[in-house]
Amino acid sequence: MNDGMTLWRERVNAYWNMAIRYLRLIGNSGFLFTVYVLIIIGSYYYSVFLDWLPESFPAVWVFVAVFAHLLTRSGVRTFVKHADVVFLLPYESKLGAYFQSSKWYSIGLQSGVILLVLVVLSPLFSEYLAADVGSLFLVLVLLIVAKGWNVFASFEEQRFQSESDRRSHFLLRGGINIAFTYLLFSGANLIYILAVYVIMAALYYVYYQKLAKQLSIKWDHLIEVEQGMLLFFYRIANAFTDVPQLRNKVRPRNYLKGILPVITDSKKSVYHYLFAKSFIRANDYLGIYVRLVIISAVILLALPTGWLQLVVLLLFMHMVTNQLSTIWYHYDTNMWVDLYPVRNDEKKDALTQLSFRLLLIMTAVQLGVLLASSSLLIAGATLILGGLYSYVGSHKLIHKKRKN
Amino acid sequence: MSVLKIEGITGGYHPKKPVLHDVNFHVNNSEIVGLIGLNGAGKSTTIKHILGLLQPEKGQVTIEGRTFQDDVNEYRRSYAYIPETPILYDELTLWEHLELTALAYGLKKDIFEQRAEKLLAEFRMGKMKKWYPSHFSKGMRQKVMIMSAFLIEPPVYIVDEPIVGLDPIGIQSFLTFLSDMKNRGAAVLMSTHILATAERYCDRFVILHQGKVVLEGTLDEMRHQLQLPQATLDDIYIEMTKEELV
Repeated sequence: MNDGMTLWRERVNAYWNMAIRYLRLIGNSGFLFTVYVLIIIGSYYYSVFLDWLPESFPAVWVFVAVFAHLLTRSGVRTFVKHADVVFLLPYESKLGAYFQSSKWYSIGLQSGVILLVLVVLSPLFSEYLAADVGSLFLVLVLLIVAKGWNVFASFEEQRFQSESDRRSHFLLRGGINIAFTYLLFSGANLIYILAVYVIMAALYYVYYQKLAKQLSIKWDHLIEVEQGMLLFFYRIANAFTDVPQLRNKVRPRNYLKGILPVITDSKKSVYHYLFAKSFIRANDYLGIYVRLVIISAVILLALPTGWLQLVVLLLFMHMVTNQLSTIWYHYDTNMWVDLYPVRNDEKKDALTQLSFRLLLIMTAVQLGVLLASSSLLIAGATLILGGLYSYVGSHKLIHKKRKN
Repeated sequence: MSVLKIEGITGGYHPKKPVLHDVNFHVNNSEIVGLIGLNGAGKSTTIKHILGLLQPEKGQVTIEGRTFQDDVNEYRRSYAYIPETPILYDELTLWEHLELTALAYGLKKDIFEQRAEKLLAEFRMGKMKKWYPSHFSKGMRQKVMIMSAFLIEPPVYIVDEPIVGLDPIGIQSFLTFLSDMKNRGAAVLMSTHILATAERYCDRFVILHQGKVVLEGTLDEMRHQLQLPQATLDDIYIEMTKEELV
């Protein structure tokens, strides 16, 4: 590691290797289909919405709000880790190239986001602003230059110790960005925009560079910011698949205490007790279950009345069964469950009971949805098939894939 | 009467590389035996064999005359274990840890509540009943382990380095409880490096070195065997492990 760049490249590669694997999982999951459907439906209503908008709609302010926000929020992905406080601290002065690359990397990615948002908003742009402002491409270039300034300035801001100093600088940049985007989207002469650039550049060379000389890098804060960004990615991925980094997160969810006795007889055995508590509090088993129930309800509502609704319901019940089966392994690394004087089949009973009751609850919810939206015949069939699948799924299928 | 018997145990993690070689010792009722040895001497391996987490190549472990194979659940019910590093359930509160232990060992509700309240008061954890482990310090985590063990009141206690990380009052409470259990007939096997405490509280010692029992007995018996009449436990310990170094 002679210049910090090797380290930087290693970390970026490691991150993208991890990210690509998650993206692939997301791509392969059935959820993506729902997203496509939403995009198609969304784009239709988007054009209807645009036609409906009055002539006097203040589109400029929408653009100012969106892009001033995107410009001001310019966090730098530094890829720093907890242990860096110990290992990289003595190396800090030689990490110039490392952080420089982080800034360019962040500019690249965030410009991509700006491009994407601009594309999404382009119909609005061509209808309201194109006449005054001119080409969308020029707007993009001007925005990216401003983005560059924001990222460089925001990195130096992170050197402040106190939250209030950081916030005041954030607001300062916010003000400049609002002025900049207003000039840009209201079709002001290019001279004015260049003037803002000059102010930005002057501020950077006179003020921010001085900050860099005076203040040291606040490692703890940088690590916190980095963790926050990483967590954001994990949370998104977690909506589609199980993310181990989020596994240890425990949410007490005391307000759900009442449903504990509904999902298992938690006093019956060690595993009944543990599974019920883990389902509610750990690993977001509950979150995935609730999401699947809601998504399936929405799809059932959207589908035309017919047998297809039953097929979709059974598919989703199968997905719920798969998700619940992972709770079996939740305690595999905990030594205590190996020491308790309890029978082995209690674990099987507990998983069966939990999944049986959860599948029945799901059936009941969907029965309600179909009674309200579909025919009596379909609802009746749901009651029978859903009940049947709940029994078979929880007593047989959930135990089938397991090796031990 | 010996409650816990380790008879000719040879074993470890890999059949070709046994960690323990023909280990023999026993623990009587109303007795605290100190299991001591350097890091890597085989203390934790011995304990894993006693718990039934490892199966011996040769020899057997019995608790009240019963082996692990005879009746797994009766065997497991007869001991309580306090691990070296606290192992807790992240998703359970302190009180739920105790409740789960009571459930696992089939404790009646009234007995459980009476014992649990007493332990919580003694270890000054009453206020943390509804806390989750992520808010616990190392010492508090250790206290959860200790309270769960004392809750069951089994005939045998297996205790691995219990007092590291505890505050002085915690240590005092722990040792008082342990002596109390001993006086009521329990057999205690305690592995530790804190020899000053071991010297005060243990009735007998087993010194393990490189997977073998190299010396055992009361302090007086060991002094006699080594012909070092004034020796402290520290001296004996260093003496026994020094030989091997040369």
